[in-house]
Amino acid sequence: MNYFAIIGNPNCGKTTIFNELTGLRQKVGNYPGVTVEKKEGKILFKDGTEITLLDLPGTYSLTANSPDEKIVSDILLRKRIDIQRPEGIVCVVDASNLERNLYLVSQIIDQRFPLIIVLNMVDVAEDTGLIIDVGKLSKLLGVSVIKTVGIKRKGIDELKRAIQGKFQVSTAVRQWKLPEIVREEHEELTQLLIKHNSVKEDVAVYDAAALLSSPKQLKEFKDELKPEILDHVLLDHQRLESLGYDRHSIFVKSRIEWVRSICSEVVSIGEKKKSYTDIIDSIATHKFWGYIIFLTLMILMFQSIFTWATIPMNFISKGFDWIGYQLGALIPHGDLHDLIILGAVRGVGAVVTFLPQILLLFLFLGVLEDTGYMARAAFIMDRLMNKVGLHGKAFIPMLSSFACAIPGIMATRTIENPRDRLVTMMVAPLMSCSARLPVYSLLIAAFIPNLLVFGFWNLQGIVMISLYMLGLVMALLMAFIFKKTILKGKTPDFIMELPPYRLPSLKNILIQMWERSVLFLKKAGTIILGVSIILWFLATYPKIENGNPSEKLAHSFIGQAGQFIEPLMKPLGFDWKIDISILSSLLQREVFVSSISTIYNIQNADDKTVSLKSQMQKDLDTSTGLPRFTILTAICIMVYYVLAMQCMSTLTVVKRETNSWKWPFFQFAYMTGLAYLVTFIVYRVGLSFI
Amino acid sequence: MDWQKLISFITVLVTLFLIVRSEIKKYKLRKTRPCGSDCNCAVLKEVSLKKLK
Repeated sequence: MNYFAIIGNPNCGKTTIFNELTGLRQKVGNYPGVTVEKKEGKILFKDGTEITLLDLPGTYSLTANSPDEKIVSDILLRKRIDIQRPEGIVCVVDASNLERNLYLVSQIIDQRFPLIIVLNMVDVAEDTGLIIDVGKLSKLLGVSVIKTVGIKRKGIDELKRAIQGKFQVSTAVRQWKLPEIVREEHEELTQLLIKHNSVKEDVAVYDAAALLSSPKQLKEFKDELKPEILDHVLLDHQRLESLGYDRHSIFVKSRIEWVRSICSEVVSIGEKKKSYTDIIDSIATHKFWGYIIFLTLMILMFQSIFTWATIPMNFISKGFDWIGYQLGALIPHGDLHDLIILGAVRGVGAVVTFLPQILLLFLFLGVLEDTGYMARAAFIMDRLMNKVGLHGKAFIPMLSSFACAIPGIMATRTIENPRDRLVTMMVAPLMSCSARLPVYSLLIAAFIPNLLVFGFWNLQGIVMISLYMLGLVMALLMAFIFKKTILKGKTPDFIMELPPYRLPSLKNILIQMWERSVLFLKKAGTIILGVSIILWFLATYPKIENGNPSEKLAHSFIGQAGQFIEPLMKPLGFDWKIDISILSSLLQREVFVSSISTIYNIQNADDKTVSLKSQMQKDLDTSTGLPRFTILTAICIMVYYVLAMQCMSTLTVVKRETNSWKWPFFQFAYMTGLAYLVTFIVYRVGLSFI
Repeated sequence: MDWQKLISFITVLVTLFLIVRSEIKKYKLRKTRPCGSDCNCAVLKEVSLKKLK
């Protein structure tokens, strides 16, 4: 045996255990729904042998409701011929929620999988006063049970040893007791399915229960079933109902009774430690204070991003100046010199300077995720989400989109209803991702005064959080419009488990920050460097012999193209340099910073020391003599970036998840249109005040 | 044409080629890998939304 799967309820610590076993660094978080696809890793043993471990999304049962849960049930119930069925299961169980977690265990046991139970988070269980007799649990379930505390790496070595040799098929297969008549019908139907549909017994047992209890399952199976089986099922339904059995819940109830009987034997209540979770939650999820705390945390986050990052940003900026100076001294003046210094070094440098801010953003998001606050944020936002017709679960994908819209769109897989899922996908990219941060930061630092409001709130931080809030408000507004028009539908109730608060894992957060910096620097070294070089070429050629740098720039390919599209963007207050920078950042938003930097560097090629910020502040419109950039222009650009779809990768992922080009095209069109409209309004209203 | 201009042109052309190639590669990778990079995750077609009724 060398192919196993790790499964369990959402947020029981599967991915933490998976990472510890395989040495991989998959994303983990203290809220349900972080893993939404299957991932594989290898466990290497000291004797040189290795096995493959499959990490699957969390699920409460094998009866799938959402697309991510369907992945699990399809793989385990042999519904996928293209994916190898695991030879054994490592089932992670949250010790502090044993009863709920054992429901899934009982379903896996019935599938006759060789199994190991991982009793994770025993520390949390002990803190809540639960004492679990592991030996007795192992005996009753007929499989090995290993105690672990995943985030502290406790029990992992023992688990590894167990994986090497202690997989067992449980002796407790189908020990839950159905009422006699239901049991007879169930067995009869099971035999029919084995005979006529050629399925294995374990799957037939599950399918028979599903057919007898769930109308949804019957609808799904209808085409696959032979008429005699279908008739039999319908007769069974009539018979059970006439005898007064609630066939929708009878199977669940029987299983739960069995699970409860086990829990009553193995769980005893000890001394309960004071629960900080309840105390914090009484404030953090309060209907008034909950919002205040959420807003305060957001303000603190963005204030700190601004103030703490200043020193390292200056350091990086000076580092790039130094590199430019050294390289400039080595290469004689000419085209290559300009390409390297003005295009490559300064273009890339302008973006890399923002690395500290991005790291701080991920530090804060990591802390919020790891402590369990994200789930509370989703909980308090549910009321608001419900008003606009969005499912409460949609807030987690939207919060993930603060980091990047791609994981956000993938996280929509936890939403059962396809229409709700689609609405969430359509609005998630309106949340400000980390790629917008360099654009906001550059413009805020250059044009928003560094003032204190009410003596302690930094105006720059307030503008930053306003941009994030604008994205959130527009996302909710668009969701409301979509739910009332093209994607009408009822909003289901939202049930979400609030995980206990815990101290954030420094390791997890550092891994996230490290991976983000690698990704950011990789982008800077590839696409941003590439676009800077191309832009340098387009902004340099064709050359004219006479004329000042501004005239030369205006005569270049980029200058001509910019002036061609200028009338289109003029109503928003944008000149051709801004238009070109927006156009060049269609692939990735950060490119705006490198593009504008390259354009200004070429225009001010003789001035070696002036920063991009001052170049933008000093740039005058030759026809009017007025500054090209004003506070209003900066605000308009930022508003445009909040709302416009400037990310090809996101569109590709939307295409993949919706299986059609229609939705990404629609998303691109509506977001760009919305950005244009709102920016136009802001500009026109702004002009009347200036 | 002086040598600096020649090297600049070559650099720009190679860069353009590399950008286009990497974007195509990324697009293809995103079809099969949720993360868009070469880790061990995989996309399952069943999670794609079917046509809404």
